[in-house]
Amino acid sequence: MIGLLEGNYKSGTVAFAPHMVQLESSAATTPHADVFGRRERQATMLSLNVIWRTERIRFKDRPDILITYPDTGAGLPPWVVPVLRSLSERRGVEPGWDSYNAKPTESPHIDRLMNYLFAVMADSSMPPIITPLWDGGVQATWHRNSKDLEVVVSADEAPMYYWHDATTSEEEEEKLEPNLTRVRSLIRQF
Amino acid sequence: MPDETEEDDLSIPDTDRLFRRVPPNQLEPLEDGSWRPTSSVFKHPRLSVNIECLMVEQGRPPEDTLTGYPDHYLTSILARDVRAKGHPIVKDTEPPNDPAHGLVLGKKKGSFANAMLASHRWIVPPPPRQE
Repeated sequence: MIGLLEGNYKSGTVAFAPHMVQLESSAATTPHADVFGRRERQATMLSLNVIWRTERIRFKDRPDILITYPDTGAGLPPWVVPVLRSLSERRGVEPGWDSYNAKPTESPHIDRLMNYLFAVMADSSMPPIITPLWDGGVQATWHRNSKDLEVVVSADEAPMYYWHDATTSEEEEEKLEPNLTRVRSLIRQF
Repeated sequence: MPDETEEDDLSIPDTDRLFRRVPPNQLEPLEDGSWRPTSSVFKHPRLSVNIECLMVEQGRPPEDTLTGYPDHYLTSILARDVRAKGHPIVKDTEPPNDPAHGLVLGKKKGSFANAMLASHRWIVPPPPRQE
């Protein structure tokens, strides 16, 4: 599942994967228009049979978020807004946000995480909590009834998932990419 | 600064607590209304902590680790639990570091971070959630 919104338009780089980009509200006008324009051109080039919809999500006292997603006619999946709210509230903004030496959360890692979430979440899935990592990466966490699942997109290694069921002592930690079906089934346990 | 190959400093007792600040954006709500740190708190390959025996020598209570960070909370893990997962602990007290500063060395897997979550003890916990 691939989004068509560029994630790094300030440098002129076009990326095909990211679903979202965060805008500074004071400088949103020009990049906003540019993003829509690029998206339309790319959609034509790829001739995909998917309708890509872009929505602006507003949170009080936070920068607006633009998200582009494959719309099946049902609109934005219910888990998306809670995830974006969690991201907006919790991302690391300044260097040293953890009072040690953490790096600010980087948008490309958020984009990658969102792409993976679109790949593994069902409309009815429980939204994870989003937590910044020390290296600028980000992770999604589900926790309920002694069960833990993490999808981890760090800056310096392949995305991973971690699963632990304390009631059975079952524990897994593997690369995410070849195991999306497994992660999909684990999410259904929450 | 300790080298990654540096050996575990056995002058740090197994029973020592290692204190770590937790910022508000690394908290996770639990079903009972309390909070726990997220596993990401324990994933740094050079995980900064304050070492209990050094703080005792210096006449400082654990809460002193929070000086200058009024919005943060304080948790602790045991040196024994860290070593059981194969991670060395070293002192790292040269200025400008805190004189009780130490590091838990080595790349951290999810299994390590979640084991620390299971055994951590709050020193200064977040207030319970009010639904």
